[in-house]
Amino acid sequence: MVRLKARYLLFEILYPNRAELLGNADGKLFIKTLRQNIETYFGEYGMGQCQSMLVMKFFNPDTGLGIIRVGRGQEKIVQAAMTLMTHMNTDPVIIRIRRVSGTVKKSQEHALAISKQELFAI
Amino acid sequence: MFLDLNIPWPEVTPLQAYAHLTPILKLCATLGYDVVALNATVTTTKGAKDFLQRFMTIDIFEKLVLENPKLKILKRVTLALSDASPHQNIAQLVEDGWQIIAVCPRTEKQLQSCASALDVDIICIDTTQRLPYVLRHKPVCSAVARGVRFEITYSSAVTGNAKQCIANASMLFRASRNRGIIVSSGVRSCQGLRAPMDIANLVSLWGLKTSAAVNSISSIPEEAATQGILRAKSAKQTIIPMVTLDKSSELKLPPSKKLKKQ
Repeated sequence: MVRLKARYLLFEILYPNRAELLGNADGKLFIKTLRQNIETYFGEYGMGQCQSMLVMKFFNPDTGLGIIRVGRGQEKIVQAAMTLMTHMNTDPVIIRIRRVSGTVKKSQEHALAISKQELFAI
Repeated sequence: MFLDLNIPWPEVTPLQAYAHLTPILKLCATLGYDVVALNATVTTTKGAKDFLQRFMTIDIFEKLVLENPKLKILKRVTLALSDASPHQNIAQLVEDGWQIIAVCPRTEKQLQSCASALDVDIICIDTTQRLPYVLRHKPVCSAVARGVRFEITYSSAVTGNAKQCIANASMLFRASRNRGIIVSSGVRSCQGLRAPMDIANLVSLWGLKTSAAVNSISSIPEEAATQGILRAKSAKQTIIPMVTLDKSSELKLPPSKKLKKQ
């Protein structure tokens, strides 16, 4: 039996209208909006393909970085749905995918590296 | 290196344009772009000259360049051809100081003449409305072989009519057989801008080959931009050195392929 394989997308939520996040990035709202978006752009077929594996693994409200699990083979659909996302409720947002990885560990390491890099940039 | 060769220069007063462009360019740098081109859309060559004068006199362009040290900013002009427009003087545009020259044909006949003869870098395909003609393989591919690239903009898919954008884009992908395609933003606000690799993924989902999708935001616009800059700074295969898109290296001559004049 081959184990169930997945892709982990490390994403970042950017708020073009806000100066600082201060723990206000909303992970729950993000995944809700993402599900709606997949359904809008890829229909019931696309949503049906993705939904069983779609889980938020980690989210940091201070940096807006998060990791989402997607079934292998559907990562392009989910990434495109994130790209096409423009609003969360009424807040304008831009979603940027920082890394597509096969393990949580590597995407966590990458998230850490990004946070460190941003810290040193200040 | 990631390039976005279409940030429209709004048709408002210079100060308003400055306020409009500042956040967009800042966001471009954040998202990882290295080169952007500010795009002025005009209908005649004379209009282009007026446009340039208006913005250069109060140094809006210089100010934007100074404020964004990470970005290389280019000047691009797009001629929106209309039915009755007379023969356009492209050489005049180069003389005026535009670095990239693009045309936006409206009819099949115009497309054919642009593709076969006109000395431009980019041909734009409008993604906001239905094309009045079908893109055919022959004119498109002969233009690509000549060194002209085709451009589509993605911002209308993000903020507006995704259907039409996808329809026109996939028609172009089919006609050009994945060759010589540039994908750029064409954003009117920060809202429509996305990170380069996300765009590569999006267009690969629309039917562009993955390798061509990555090239469409990196190497192909780079070739177009280099070609545009070289047009002004070269004559008969002799170029002024230090013509490079890369800010870090002082002297990097482009590969000989790009030096060839058509």
